[in-house]
Amino acid sequence: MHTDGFFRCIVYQSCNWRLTKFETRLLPTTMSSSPRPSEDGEEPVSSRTSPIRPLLDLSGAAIQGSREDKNPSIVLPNQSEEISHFAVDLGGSLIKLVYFSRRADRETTNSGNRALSPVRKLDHLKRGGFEAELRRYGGFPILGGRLHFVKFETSKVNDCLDFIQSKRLHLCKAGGAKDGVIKATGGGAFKFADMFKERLGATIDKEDEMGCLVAGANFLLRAIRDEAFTHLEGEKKFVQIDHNDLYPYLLVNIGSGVSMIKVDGDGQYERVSGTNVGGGTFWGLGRLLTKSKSFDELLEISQGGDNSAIDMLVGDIYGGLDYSKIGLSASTIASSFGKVIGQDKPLSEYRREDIALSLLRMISYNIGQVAYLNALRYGLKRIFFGGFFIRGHAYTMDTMSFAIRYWSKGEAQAMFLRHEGFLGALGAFLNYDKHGLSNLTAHQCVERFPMGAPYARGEVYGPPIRDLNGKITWMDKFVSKGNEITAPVPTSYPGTTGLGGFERPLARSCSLRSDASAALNVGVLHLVPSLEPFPLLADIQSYEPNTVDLSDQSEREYWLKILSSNLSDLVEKAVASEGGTPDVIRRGDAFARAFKAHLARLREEPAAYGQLGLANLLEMREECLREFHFQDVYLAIKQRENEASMVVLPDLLAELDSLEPSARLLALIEGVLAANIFDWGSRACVELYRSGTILEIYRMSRNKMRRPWRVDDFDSFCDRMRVNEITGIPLKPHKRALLFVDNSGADIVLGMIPLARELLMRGTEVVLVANSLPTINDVTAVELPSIIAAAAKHCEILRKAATAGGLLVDVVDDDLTEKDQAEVPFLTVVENGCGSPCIDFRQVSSELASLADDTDLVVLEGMGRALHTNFNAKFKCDVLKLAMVKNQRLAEQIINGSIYDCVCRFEPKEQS
Amino acid sequence: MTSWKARVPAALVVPNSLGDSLPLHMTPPPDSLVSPVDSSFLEGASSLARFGLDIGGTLCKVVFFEPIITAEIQAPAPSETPKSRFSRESFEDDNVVAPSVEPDDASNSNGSHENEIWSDGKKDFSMFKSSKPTPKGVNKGGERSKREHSRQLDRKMWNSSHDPVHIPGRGTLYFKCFETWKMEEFLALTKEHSLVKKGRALGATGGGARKFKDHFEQIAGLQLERADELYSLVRGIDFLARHAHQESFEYPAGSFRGGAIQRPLKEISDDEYELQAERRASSSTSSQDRSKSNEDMNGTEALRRVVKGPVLATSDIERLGGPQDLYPYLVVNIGSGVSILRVDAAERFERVGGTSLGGSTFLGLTSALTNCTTFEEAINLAREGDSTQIDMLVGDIYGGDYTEMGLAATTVASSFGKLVQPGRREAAMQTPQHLSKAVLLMVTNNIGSIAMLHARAAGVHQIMFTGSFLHENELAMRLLAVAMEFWSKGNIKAVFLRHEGHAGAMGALLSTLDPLNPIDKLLLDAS
Repeated sequence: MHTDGFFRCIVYQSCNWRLTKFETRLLPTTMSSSPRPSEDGEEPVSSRTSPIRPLLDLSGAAIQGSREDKNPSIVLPNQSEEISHFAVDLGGSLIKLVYFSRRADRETTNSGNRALSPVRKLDHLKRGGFEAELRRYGGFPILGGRLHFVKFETSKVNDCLDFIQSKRLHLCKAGGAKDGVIKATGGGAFKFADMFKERLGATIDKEDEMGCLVAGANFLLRAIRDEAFTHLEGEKKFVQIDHNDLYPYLLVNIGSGVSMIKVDGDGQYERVSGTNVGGGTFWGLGRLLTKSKSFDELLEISQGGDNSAIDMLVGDIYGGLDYSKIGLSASTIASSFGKVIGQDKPLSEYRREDIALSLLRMISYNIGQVAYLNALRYGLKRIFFGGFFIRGHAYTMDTMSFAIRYWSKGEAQAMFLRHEGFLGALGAFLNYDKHGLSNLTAHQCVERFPMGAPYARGEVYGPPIRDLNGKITWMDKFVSKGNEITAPVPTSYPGTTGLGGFERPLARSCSLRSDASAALNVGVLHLVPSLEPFPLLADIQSYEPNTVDLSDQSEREYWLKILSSNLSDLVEKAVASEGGTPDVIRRGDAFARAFKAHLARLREEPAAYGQLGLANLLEMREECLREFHFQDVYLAIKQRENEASMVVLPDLLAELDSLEPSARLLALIEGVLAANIFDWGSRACVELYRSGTILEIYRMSRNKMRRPWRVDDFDSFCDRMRVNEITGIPLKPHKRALLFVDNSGADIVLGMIPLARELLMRGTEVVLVANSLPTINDVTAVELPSIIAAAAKHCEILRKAATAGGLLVDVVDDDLTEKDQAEVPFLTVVENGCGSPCIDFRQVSSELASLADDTDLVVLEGMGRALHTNFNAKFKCDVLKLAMVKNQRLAEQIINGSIYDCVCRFEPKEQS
Repeated sequence: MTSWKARVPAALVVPNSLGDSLPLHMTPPPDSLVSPVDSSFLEGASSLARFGLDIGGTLCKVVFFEPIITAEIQAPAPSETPKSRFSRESFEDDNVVAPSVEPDDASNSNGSHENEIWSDGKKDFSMFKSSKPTPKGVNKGGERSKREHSRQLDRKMWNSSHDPVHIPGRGTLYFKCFETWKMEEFLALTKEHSLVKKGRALGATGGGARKFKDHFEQIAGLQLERADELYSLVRGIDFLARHAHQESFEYPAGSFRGGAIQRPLKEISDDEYELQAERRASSSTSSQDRSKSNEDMNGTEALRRVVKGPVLATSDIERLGGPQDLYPYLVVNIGSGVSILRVDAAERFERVGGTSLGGSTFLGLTSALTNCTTFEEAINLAREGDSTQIDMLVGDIYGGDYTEMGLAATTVASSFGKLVQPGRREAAMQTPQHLSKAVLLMVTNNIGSIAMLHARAAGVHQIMFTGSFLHENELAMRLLAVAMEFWSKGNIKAVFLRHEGHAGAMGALLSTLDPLNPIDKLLLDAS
């Protein structure tokens, strides 16, 4: 049976999540202009992986049943069916749950217009596929999917069981031969074993707690880029961990009590110490002293405290004088709670806030000090803190950092983990041996922060949110309570997540404060095994995609403001794109609120979601749209512009052909720059749209293209592209060029396609690299084939190249002989693995990465990919960065120019 | 023998101490008590007493030395300096002549009277106190009633449960303390009773030596001579350990059966203690001979009361392994807060750390959670307590020992950790004794682990735990002893002092002595 051809698979999932059946058919794209592939191609090919799709093992796939069946099912003998779905850490105070979902959420897969783009059948593409994963890792392949992090109060264990049942997590067989085994860690594993057995019919398989903590920490430090950070004097700073220089370190897990573990490597660790003064002490004692209702409330009230009313300070003993002789300032605490004695004053006369702060400080400082002593003893420089005690609370982190810095005289460094509370649960999950997660690296993880159910101070509760409608209803209810959502609440189970089942503290204002979600700075972790670092990056270690540093406050404010001011336009467009029905309007409202909440959150705590760059911000908007099922807001606009531009293309090509090679090259680059003005992501350009037709703008733009441009390396590019003046043959033709395209419409049709055609004419193989998912009006990899097909109608060169590249499978070209085919350079399309207007070259699709080998020219086009990101990126090959700057501030900042200035930056491969 | 001496102050420290406290309300002395003679509210102190104060954040510790005056001493010393000496007469009235032992004083008129008392050769100081005649002829009945008042006052102001230390042929050291917040009261009484002569200096250390300097001058007309805290502490420990009989002690190895798993909470029966004590005693007869003479006066009775059970480390320094093996050792002084010093050699020591979870944290938290107001009450509560309803133990989490990590089921995993569960608050508040115990365990365990880590970092094998927190605090001492033994596998020993909180004051007293003064010399030569 063949396994060639194209197919689109829809995964049917039975309720127990087993993958049973595939529907195959040939690629139909929904683009009206797309050439429809013939319907009779019954041969499925080996899979292409898509970053948001679960990865399936298609090796040995076979179609079951008659070939004449319309929708034959496919058997996947090598796809492991038994996928464990969750692991728990049953702690003394909290239950931490990590669960894995293999399907892409319905909201992102039910789009009709997303389909796999046809890509040439290149051998190397297969290398990027699943089999390669298997080969590479030798063991179990990494499963694509999502990791979710949820917590519950241990006293509400039934909530946890309800949650597991509602998500049907327990119905999946855990890894291994045993039926219904749940990996669990934490002290409660034995305690709740019977309860789990009774309610879920599953046996608890207890994993060693320390081992799990270490495994979890090692995984996080390896797989998540912005996991560890320092926090000194209120400043949060992410630390990039070099995995080769990680060990040994001290892991301090602050649960109810505190364990200190010296970690020397994977699976190599030793519990060296601990203290009985931990999170349980803070909460237990705090509850006695302050009558607080929740841990979070206790944390919150501490913010308004003054510990000098409770603690005996050095100044109290020394009469307000510093004790500088041994470096003790007057405000150093000599004795915690020392002032409570000798004063005949009942507890109720002390301020709760002061008590909470004093307690927090005492415990944090003490943990820091004990950690330091252990680090000292073993000569460890790095101390990582885990456990659900810190919860992003700045004072706690500062106190610990201070203690460690003070005692170690700056030698040792305190670092905190964003997934602090989930080390154990994650470690237990990693013990399932079929995920291959232990091989996962940072470039294969993408973290998203979906909007969960908002909290309304414990007043609005509802059923577990299982779908979009539930989510929207939730937000409606929330807003109808007159509350303002100022922060997203992560994940999706009211009463249990976000606040970890702790009752919502009574916030001072009538709005959802960020404190709540600060407690859980954890998103959903998308595991995308098909993502890889781009091999042509000169130095991946030092690579930083973002050009603009948003840690600068004014810079951040500026972009946050831009995004919020553009929001209403976006919502309007989004609603229109989906038909504008009342239901869609509601959805649009919900999106707007959710996105506003994200912005508000980031304004308050910029590092809430990890290192914040402009690229992350722009991508977050796209993700948020997708979360509310707005699949492609600009779909109609893109189509209209494509069609309008296509009309002009023949004339443009004819004009270009009449020029001398060097003049033609200039005209082409001008064309790319001029066409790059069509950007719905730029406010200035949207204004232009209102006052003119597409062609008018293009002509106007073109007329402005007077050299020298603000950044003008054209001469050196031209030199590199020199041709023999007699024969017209390029002197040093490139073998393969990767063209990273930007917008739809004129940009692709009148800018990049002609440039691609020029390269093809010079014998260079051209790969158009486009987005996997829609973002603003950027052209996607799915849309490109149809655009090329349309263009090919006007141009023989394009037609031959595209045919050779397999883009035009339906065109039976009798003129093209085998011999011709071998000589014609290929024109192909590949997706980049992104859904953002920017690109992070640390995480691109494996297809793109696999094409890097023979590539000797990279063209980055557009603001997002060439300016916002990668403006300063260095590559191992020739690279041309082309963009028109459509933002005054950015122009001033990075090219010292002004709006509509052009950038043509050519960086030839460094001769070594 | 000189090994415990530390002569060079390296750095200062905050060794505040905490000890027994008195009822909170102290009535001012009745006017009738303003009597010049023998109405001293400081029982046992004569005009010749030498004082050392350690004014901590919570407690002010007082050590005074009452000399035995012999003919030898009465001979005039050539170059007396007036400072740091006290004579009862001079306290009473500046115009009254000091005793003959104080030749720099203008008059010697009362010397004979003093001599009468001192020369009767009595070493029974209680006799001395009770039978001391009134120099200025107050009628007997009035005298008695005033003395009675004085006693009452004494009891209110002072904690006198510390045993005096008798140094044969030289004098007696008394150990007192009061709460620092009563300082003004103390000064007023001092003035009223003319305890200290105007212009005289007292040896003082602790934060309050600085803070209350002006108060002493303005209210009582007294000069404080500040002594370095660390220096005083280390010197005081050295002195006490060598001079006070059975001053330091430790719990013998294996006191707490545990095997591989630590059992800090296990109670040991008295029988076991006695058995061990006997064994210990039989092996240290040589030192017994030496100190036999003091034993009667000393009253091992009192000692037993204080530290019931543990084997005493008599003739302490030798026991600790001799000078060459002694250093370095760690001092963990648990006062209001905790200071940790590493003593490298007789002349070298350094503050290496500390923690704010100390004695006042225990008392502060306990008094916030219960009705008790004094340390004694808090400790007594804790003795009756069972913290297993409050603390989360390893057994609660793991259902038993966590053998892989060597943690016993009874180890406290999280202090107050059980109260995390909702609805436990009210029940817990009904059991103050459990709460007090939990606070005690929290503070003590934490000090133990920090001390152990410091001991390891410093590479020491002895940890001397001092400070008023340990006063009559058997629970804490046992816990510390067991923890040190267990976690170090017997390599690190916890050693305690009977006069836990007074080392600093002792040191302050020593550091203000003048080697040329015959009375000062009595004490100085002893050290």
